[in-house]
Amino acid sequence: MANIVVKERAKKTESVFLAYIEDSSSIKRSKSTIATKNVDASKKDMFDKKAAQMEAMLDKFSRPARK
Amino acid sequence: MLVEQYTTIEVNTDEYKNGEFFKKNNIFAACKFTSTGDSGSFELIVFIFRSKKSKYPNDYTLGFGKWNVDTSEVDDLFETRNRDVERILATVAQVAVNFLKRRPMAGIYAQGSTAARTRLYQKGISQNLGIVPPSLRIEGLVVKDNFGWADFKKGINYDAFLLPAK
Repeated sequence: MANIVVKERAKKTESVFLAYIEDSSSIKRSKSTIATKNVDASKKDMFDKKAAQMEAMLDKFSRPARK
Repeated sequence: MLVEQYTTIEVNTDEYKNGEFFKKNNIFAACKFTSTGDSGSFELIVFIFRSKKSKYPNDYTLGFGKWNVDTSEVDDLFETRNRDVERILATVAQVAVNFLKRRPMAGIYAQGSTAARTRLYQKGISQNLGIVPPSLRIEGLVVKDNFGWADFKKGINYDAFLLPAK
């Protein structure tokens, strides 16, 4: 009797464990997909941002006089 | 000591016209070169450009990275892992210097795509201050405490750089 209980518990633990792995890997997958999408989106306008940064920095700070 | 450079090839920007980037910016110079090493060969491209809406007709932005054929975009976060950072930076710097020779009133703005890369550029500039052509100067920008632009000095952490002719 005790043996059966232990086996059933083990089965339950295994199924919970497998479900956890499945779940966490799907979380990981979705996280990595989001990360990739974000990187791709930011790459697309990376140079536009640089051009805008230059404008902002030249607007905000005056430059040393030319020698 | 002069750092070895890659051989650059001027690029007809028509070759790269599909990207969204070209709709918003004018390209004034484009060169490509190939980084080679243990990780393989990668085509890198340097653009000197300016936003079409810019208020600063003499100032240009410098950007470089790996050309992505599939998306027609430049990936400036790409790492070649060819242990050739110094060689790449020397090549890009030479493109900037050549551009400034042709446009003596111009200034070229450079900022790393990440803070770490900006530090890397700073290190490269510090190591090569002695070989900056006498006709050029390098300014550094410190945003903290609204310090602003000043002539580049070793030992100061800058947020961006500007290369104008003197």
